Amino acid sequence: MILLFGRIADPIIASLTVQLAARSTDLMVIDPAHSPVDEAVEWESDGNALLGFLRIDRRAIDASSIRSMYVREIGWAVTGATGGQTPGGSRARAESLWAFIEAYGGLVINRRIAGCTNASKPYQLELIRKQGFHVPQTLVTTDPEAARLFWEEFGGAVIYKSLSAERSIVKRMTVADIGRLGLLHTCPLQLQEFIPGVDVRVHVVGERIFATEIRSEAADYRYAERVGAGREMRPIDLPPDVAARCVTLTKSLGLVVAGVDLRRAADGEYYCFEANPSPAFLWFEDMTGQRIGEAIVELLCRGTVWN
Amino acid sequence: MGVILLLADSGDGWALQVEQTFLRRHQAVQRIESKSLVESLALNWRLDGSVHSAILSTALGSPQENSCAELLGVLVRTNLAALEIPDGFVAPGDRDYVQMEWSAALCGWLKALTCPVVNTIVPGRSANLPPSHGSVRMALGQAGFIASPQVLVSDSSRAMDWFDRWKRRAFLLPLGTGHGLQYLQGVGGHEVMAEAILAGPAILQPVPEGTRLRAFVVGNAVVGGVWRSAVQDRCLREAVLDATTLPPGLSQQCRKLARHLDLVFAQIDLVWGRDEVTFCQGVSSSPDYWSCSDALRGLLVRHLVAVLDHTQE
Repeated sequence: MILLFGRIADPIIASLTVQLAARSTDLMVIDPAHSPVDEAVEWESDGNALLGFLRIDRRAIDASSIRSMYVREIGWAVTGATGGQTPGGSRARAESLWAFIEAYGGLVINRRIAGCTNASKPYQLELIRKQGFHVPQTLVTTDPEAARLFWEEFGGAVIYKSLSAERSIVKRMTVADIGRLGLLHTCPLQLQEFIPGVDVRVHVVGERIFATEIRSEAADYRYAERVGAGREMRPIDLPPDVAARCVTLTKSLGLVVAGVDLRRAADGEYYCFEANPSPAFLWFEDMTGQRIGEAIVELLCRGTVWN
Repeated sequence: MGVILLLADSGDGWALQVEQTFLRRHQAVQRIESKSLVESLALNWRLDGSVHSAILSTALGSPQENSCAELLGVLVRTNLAALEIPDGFVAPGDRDYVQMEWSAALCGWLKALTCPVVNTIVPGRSANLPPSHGSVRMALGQAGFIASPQVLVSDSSRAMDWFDRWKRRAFLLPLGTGHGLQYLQGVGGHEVMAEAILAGPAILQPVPEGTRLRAFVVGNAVVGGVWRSAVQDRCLREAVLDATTLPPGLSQQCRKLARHLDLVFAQIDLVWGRDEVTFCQGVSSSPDYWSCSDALRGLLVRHLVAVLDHTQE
């Protein structure tokens, strides 16, 4: 049995479900949108492994039959850097399921703590730097003057983005933004030197990697259309040392699957910006034909990262 | 002279005693209440630490700037996941976003500091962890502890069934509430459990045969706590802990466990069974001040102070 946690309408859950079903895999989608919020969840552990049955959604799942889990959404989203939560379902049910996932000793893509490292981007950046990646010069500040000096230091080649996991569009800081720096005293901002170069998104799936090169004039290639910029994407082979570092970084963060954002600078150096613990890989599959979902499905079926 | 920073409210016993100790020694110490944290702090740091890194605080009424390099140590007792954003500080629609951004910034800043931080915040990790938690399970094995059987219940009648099956003695850890591990026994235990399960799911563990202990790790030091015999059979939340010396082997195991979990200050609930087999019922990064006797509190505060001002051996 493979458990998929997430909404069936979520394209990633839908895609994995179809691929697993095509392999006649025994699977169950635990959809927070279609589960009774007041239902009791129960599980047992002997201290090392789950025992008996997980009782959920009026079903009893034999714990020993669970081969792996894929966690996209539990229903009570973790949003704060320290695991603060916002409503979106039954808190009690979500807590029970998270505890169940943590108690499961087998393959989980991905566990909660591992998935939370990018809830604080500067926290994760420290971990990335320790793995030997170049990281951009970064200032976290609530001081307008410090922000202005940072901008000047890099000749205006500075981007800003959110500090938390809240999705934000990466933007170049402009002269017009200088006038708004007074707002900083209420909310810290993350500024980074702009690294000219080519974006590379690396999807790490266990020990396999899928690297996609993205060429775009936009500061954030995901939103190139919005700023009238173009975008070209193609699969590439990474230098072996960079590829190995991506796998090591993913493991060191406790992740099994990650979307690692790199940029290759003009001098050939690779900078790492962040590692996304729940990458929306379908878009990259559509644009490049890379079979990332298939690799995830293979992992889930195998039940281990190792062959 | 360096500054000790305490992110804690005045009701926090550990922080208050640490603050008083430093004040008595005329050591620079600054405590910032959670309700004024975002108004008091002005963060400004470079991740590479090479340029001006400062924390500017107006908490004491007059602006005072402390370079991060001048920070001797930081004691974190504020729940950064639930940072208070004062009314009127930002527009109501921006409140959640601002809270997340502050939380993320502080979490990253604490991680980047090179001075002792008690404790660094691990995003997504609760303060009270059961032995079944993935990271704890792995660390327990490495430290040589045994995890007890556990059951997660979210229905009070099912919880009572388990409690009765275990002869009405159990450990209870409510999930997602911030409450720590509780020892339950008899009729009183029934009541506490029913109340807890009403608030949310909880992990229940049977009580192995042996002596219940609570170990505290503070930096390199390990201090044992033993439940006062007169209240040994009452619920944990009513009991008092006295200091005790743990066997060196057990102390070493506790030290190892805390280190694996990246905790400078940790509380570890144990049952020391026959043949020196030790069961672990849970680990907390937020040790309970109120269950400790005055003497035990004093001992732990001395160790906390030594960690923060770098005098611990």
